[in-house]
Amino acid sequence: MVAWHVLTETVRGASHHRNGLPNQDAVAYHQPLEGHVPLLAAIADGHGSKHCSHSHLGAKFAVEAALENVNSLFNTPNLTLPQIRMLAENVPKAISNCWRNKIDAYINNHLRIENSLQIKPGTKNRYLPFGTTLLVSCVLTECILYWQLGDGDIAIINRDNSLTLPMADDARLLGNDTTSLCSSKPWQDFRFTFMPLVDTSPKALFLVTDGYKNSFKLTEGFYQALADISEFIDTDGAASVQQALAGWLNETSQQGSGDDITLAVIYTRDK
Amino acid sequence: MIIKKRPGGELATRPLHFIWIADCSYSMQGEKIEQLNFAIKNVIPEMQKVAAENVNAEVLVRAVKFSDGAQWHVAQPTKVDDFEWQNLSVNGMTDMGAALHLVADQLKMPPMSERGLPPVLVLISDGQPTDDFTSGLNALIQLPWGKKAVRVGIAIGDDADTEVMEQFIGNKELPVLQARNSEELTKYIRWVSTAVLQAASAPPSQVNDATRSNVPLPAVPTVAPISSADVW
Repeated sequence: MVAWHVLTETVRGASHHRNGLPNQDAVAYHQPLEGHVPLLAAIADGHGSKHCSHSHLGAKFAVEAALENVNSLFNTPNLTLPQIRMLAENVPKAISNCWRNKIDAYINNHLRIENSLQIKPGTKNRYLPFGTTLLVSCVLTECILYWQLGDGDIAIINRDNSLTLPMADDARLLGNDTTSLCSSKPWQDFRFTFMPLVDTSPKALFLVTDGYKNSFKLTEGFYQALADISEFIDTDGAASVQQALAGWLNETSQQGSGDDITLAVIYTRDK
Repeated sequence: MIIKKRPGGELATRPLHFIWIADCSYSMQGEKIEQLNFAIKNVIPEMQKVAAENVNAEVLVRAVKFSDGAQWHVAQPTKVDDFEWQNLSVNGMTDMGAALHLVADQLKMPPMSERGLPPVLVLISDGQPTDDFTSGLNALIQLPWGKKAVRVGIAIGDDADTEVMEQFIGNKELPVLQARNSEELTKYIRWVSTAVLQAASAPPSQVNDATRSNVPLPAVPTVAPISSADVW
């Protein structure tokens, strides 16, 4: 038996410091009972472009929508794996609709901002100013579920310290291009996978925005960072890692991509 | 206890490849090639300034020249602070397709890495391709980084083939920059070396959409009406 825990951090990117922009990322998790499943975590990376002037809010709404919907879909006890898989297929559409509802409510409650939203003439896409990615993980007794829309990384550190990337690549995500919740049918761009928990659980799993990987000269250096964090949690304790994490991420952004960096680490401890 | 060691491997800013693709055919002889050399040489300090303001991008400059065939004029991706411009000279035909093949070879992964910023490719020509332009363009745009590159075309004088330039640019939002005299050529070279470089070196994420530019581009500089005596 293992206990499940979460550690999160988000830092404003060095380039956003220079340009006076807020952190466009968001992170949240939900664990009704400390150490136990279900455990949900979500991170989001608002686009931050000129046309996405409210993407920091879009990211916040995205993680909220993810936790609300995933929690409500999987809070029934004793679901079978086929039932879980069937419910999981509904998640992208449920999150997308909930996210839009949150934006509609925000706009309705802040009418004057409608004019300030820099919606490109002709697009009629009122969600574009809130554009964001979203990465979600849900740990249940039977399995771990993952959803991803847009760039960023999901990685698993196994018990033998090997690293697994559960999500299939999306060739469209190169340079600064990404798929987004503000697209016309965002649910079609979600990637989903799940991992049954049979004999063993992973040591840690990471949800990370792209500002982290883009800061390393080599991809191996990024994977090493995830392995190091997992090891530091084991050897020095989560509290020490939490205390140091913002400093590490700030240094990484300054000397690397300049982008905001956000991560959620779900890790296990033997009971 | 505070852990001192930062997790992970070596950090690095994101590479941004900026490539001049310059026509050196006979028709460029005289004032055109002289002005091209002068404008690029003079804009280097401004490029360095832009790069210094975007410390999380590493601007690397190269140049291809094409006439009878194509060669790298500056083959190594050179940090903009170390970049020096050696004057181009004219010779032969307009093998633009060969130049695009050369660039395409360098936009493959590897040598390019996935973590780079969209490359900036600037094609400058006063004529029509004399080789298989389509083959060169296809080789370029079938590559992920070829597709994602910011492709700018500067047409010198009235004889330039703007249709092939438009195909190279591949973006209806970005027109061919028509340089009708030395002043306009200088203005466009400065724009692409500063405003476009600035935009490409700190691009925000944006929704994947093949119909528009790969980075949000600044407005194209306006040019004043000129008399026919001033036109190349």
